[in-house]
Amino acid sequence: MPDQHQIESLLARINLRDRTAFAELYAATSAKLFGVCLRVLKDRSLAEDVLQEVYIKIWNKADRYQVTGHSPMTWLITIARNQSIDRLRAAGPPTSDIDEVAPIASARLGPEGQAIAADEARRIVGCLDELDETRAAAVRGAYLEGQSYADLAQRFDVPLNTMRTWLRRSLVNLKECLSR
Amino acid sequence: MTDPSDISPDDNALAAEYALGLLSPDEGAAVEARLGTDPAFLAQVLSWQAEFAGLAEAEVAPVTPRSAVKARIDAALFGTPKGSIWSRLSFWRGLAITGFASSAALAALLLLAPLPQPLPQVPLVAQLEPVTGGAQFLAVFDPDTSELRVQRSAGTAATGRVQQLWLIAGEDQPVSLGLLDDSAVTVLTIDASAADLFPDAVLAVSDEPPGGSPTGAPTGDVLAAGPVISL
Repeated sequence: MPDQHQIESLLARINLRDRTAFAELYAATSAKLFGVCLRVLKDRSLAEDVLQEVYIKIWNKADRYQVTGHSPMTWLITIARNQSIDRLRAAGPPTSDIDEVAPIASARLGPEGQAIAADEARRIVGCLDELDETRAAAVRGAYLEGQSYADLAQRFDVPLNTMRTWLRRSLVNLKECLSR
Repeated sequence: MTDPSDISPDDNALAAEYALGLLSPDEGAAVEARLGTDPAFLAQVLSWQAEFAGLAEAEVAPVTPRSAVKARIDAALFGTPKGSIWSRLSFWRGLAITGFASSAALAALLLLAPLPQPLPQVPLVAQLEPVTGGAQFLAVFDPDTSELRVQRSAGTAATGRVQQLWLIAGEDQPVSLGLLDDSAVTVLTIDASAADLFPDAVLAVSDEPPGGSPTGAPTGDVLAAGPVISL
């Protein structure tokens, strides 16, 4: 996997319609993004369809990447994950791209917010470890597998409202840990 | 980064629920309306997106998709897979622009540069960053007068060589816009067919023999390039 600066440079070249850069980005990131899609959709053929949509979006929206202030992998993973969720809940409204619903420039994260996801990865895994096992499993289920509150309530065999209350509490605890 | 104390635990959980896609359509729409007006809340959503992406980064195993997927993507984006002029030209091989020229930076440059007065009404500008060597240019195109003013910020033509300016629209072959003077500023008059191509195009300067490229396509190194942006 190339480092953050390499991916950033590839995205800049893609923005200039450089197909070679697009091929390089695909080679460098498609396995990770396909893993993300597959984890949500659990069906290879569906995940392949969504992966196709994801890269078409990346080609068409490369100019929007910097607007979010995200690290390049965060931007790519967020597209893949949200596109997968939309497919999973085909009946519902599509997930908006954050740069389309808000004037992000005013809220852009500082340089520390753009730090490579490796740090973030270690941190969130560590903080999930501080939660009860089932609560961490619920957070993972919601993000990595795209489970809804109804899915989670069924999985953990609790009423929907209870599920929501304790997931929200878990998220608050998680944030406290992440902010330390 | 926004101070986490700016935002209540409730809102924090709401931002996370939004990032997770757990909200009902109505709740989601309410959150989106708020994102436009509440930067602290928006920062929380972005921060959660980054944290959760970190989780995927750490815990999702890569799975190589079948090669047919890439072929389908290329077909959807670029039509039939054949070597286009774009991909054949060594012209673009060395092109590596490491960052986007932001509108703000361009606006700042425009303020510093001695531009003709008054400023064009809706100028299209391109900041051409060095690709090979140190040449750097700022180009401002006024659609009203079809005048393209190219200011040399750094770098001159090599001895016995000239610098030629090109416009590249989409996948098309580069179109010559003319040769650059050795002076600091070159003003080129752009004909109507090329003028229409300026929005979303890329401008590039190549190193050519005296009199310009003999082939009608760039033959030498790309010296500088940058996307056209409207201010």
